[in-house]
Amino acid sequence: MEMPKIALIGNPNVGKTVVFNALTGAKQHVGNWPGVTVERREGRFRHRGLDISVVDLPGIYTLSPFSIDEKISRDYIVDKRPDAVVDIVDASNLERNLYLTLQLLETGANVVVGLNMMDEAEKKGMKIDVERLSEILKAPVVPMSAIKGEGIDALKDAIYEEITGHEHHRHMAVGYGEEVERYIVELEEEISKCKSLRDYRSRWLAVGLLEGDGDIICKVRKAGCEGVIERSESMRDELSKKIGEMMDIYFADRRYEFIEEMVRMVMVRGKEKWTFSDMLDNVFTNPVFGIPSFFLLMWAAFQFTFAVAEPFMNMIDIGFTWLADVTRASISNPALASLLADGIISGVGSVLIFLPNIFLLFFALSLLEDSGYLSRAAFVMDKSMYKIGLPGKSFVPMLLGFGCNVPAIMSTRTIEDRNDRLITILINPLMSCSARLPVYLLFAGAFFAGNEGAVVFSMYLMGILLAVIMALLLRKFLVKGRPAPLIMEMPPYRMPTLKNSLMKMWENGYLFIKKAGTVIVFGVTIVWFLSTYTYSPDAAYGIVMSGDIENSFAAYLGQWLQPIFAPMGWDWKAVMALLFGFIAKEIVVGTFGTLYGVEGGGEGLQNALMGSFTPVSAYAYMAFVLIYVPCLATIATIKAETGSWKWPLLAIAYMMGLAYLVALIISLVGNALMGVFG
Amino acid sequence: MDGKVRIIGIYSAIIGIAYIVYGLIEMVGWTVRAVQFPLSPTPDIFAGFILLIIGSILIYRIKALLDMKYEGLSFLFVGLVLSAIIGMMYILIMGADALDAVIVGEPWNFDTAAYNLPAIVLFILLLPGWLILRDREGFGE
Repeated sequence: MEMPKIALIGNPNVGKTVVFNALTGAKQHVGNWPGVTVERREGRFRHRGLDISVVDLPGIYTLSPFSIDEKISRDYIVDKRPDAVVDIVDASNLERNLYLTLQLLETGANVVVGLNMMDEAEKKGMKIDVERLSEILKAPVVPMSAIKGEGIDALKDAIYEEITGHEHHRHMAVGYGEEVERYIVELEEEISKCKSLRDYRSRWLAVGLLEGDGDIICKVRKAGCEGVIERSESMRDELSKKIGEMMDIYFADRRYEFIEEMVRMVMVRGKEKWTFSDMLDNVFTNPVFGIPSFFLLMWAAFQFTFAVAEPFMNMIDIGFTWLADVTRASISNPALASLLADGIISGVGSVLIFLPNIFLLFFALSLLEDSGYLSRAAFVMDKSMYKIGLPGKSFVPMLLGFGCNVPAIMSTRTIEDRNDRLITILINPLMSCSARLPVYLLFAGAFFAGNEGAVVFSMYLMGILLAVIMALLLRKFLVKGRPAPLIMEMPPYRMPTLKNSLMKMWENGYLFIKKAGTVIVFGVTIVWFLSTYTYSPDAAYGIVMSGDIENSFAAYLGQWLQPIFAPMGWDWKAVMALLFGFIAKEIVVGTFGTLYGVEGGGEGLQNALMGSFTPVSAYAYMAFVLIYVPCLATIATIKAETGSWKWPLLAIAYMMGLAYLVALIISLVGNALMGVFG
Repeated sequence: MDGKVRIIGIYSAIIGIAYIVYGLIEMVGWTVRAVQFPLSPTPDIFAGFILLIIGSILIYRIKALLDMKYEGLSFLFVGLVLSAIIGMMYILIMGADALDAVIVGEPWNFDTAAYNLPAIVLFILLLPGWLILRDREGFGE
């Protein structure tokens, strides 16, 4: 027997991923903002001896799909036909959430309603009669507060009953009025004559066809039932004339009327008073204080990241220095000792030293995310973003870009308009990802002691500013049109849980460690080889240890490329680090570590760099690293998401040109100012 | 007007003004470093701007607060939250520096510039403001 399958569905930000994690024991990313789940994810759990497979679907408001993630969810429900559909409903926002529930019930799916966030509803003074709601919907309703783990066992029981058929399903139906019902029944009869449509519930198809749902019309057409479509079109026209309004609006209005009546029957509201969420929103979405508050919180996150990481960085530095010394002393073969101590340990150590910063940055961002603040930030930024030709929905992918551009670009799937999505994808690599942070920290510590936090923060601001400029240019010359207005739900503020924040911190930090153990080891090994060996016609295979880095392969290659960057005052080592940064930005620091032969990185590497850079050339270098080409993984993601090589190539071209231009301007202006002010 | 709300409201407004004054000093101090002030404000334009924001939020709707309106209470509440975030952040930085001194085996010095002493002192002075949130019964639209 095939393993029973259930689907988790619901509006965005109702806690589906929390429920998914609670059911399956998985550790999927949980966020207190809409759009965390952009692809469907699978897991499984065992209950009463039965193995059950679970699919977590992206959040949707209706079963009429407008964006890619909405389409993923709907197609899964109606085409894959899971054994049960668990509809997670926000109890504190019943009116809006129940619309999807009604549509799910209309498809004929075996729906189990998880009435989540009961605690939030109670805080707002709402009392919900769960049994009565279950009676009206003719579906099991389980009250729960998933974030506290309450109601999970009851939900498992309800799912089990639904799958094993102990709980017989009775389909409820919204009444659309005598006249319309007559048409629905008549159309159902037409549909039942078409054998290839028997997999679908005829009432759902009939209502969808009368609504003029394009996706349903496509399904019927694919099934070869043109006659049904023709009949439904004439019926729709007739009904529309009789009723005097568009049929899709008519059906939506009847559903909302039904929901209003149902909510009136099952819910009692308490006396209105401002909650802490209301009070926070009053200021955080205020036209005067909204943006300054956002600036304050982001600045605090970066300040925290930079300053608190210091002791942990020193611990790692000491550890790697010790490891390199021990390795060098215990291995007699000089080539092997050099590879391990000067190549791998120096290179990887100089990158891993920034691990505490990465951990702390993600910890701070997860606190902001889990608190629910980021949705407000998107709201306050929407007006400014609209002015530069970006939809408010771009804010979430842009902010995710501070972590890693790959998931950030994938999260643009929540943007319905293709042009809006394309612009967001193309400017996303300008959001400074965590891989670039080690470069900033290294240079800021060496050349801007005492102002490191402000200098690093300025890099992030520069990335945002350049993204704004590029968005304006792209909108004006390449991807014309107006951005779509933002419609976004504000989730309630919640106290972030330490467990969730630590979990996210670990997930992202682990990716960094994994990269250090794979791509960076590979990269620094090549750098070590190129910097240790040179060409000799007399040697076996023509290769010999150079003894002097200035005569190595790396020096030859770097010196060949260096004239391009001469206006910025960078030497060949800096150029080599940029070259290897094409693979992944973390390798920039690893390359410096290997080329300078400094274990652990930290102060030793900073002192070494002070001989090769000035504060101006260092700042220009940081800006270049911020802007120049996305890493290979990001390029591949742009290709995958746009379906064409044209857009990743455009991104590479404009970012290279922009990086060079910005670095050159910084160098020229900076050097001129240094000349004036000394 | 509730007596407790009046006292806390006026007190938090005074602290709000102190935030603004120190914010301005830190912003000016970023360019003109010669002048000395009590509590050794950090000559950092960003840090100064942050203090300025907190102070402005604290005094922006003080009248509504004294009139027992949620509108005013919300600004005091957010001012308290932001003050706590910034104050505790600097305390954490102080703790991290002390730990770092132990790790590298150097003596730890209290660096007033790095820890933005005014932000810590004003955060502590503002703590009684939280008392206003214990009982919100008298507040209205």
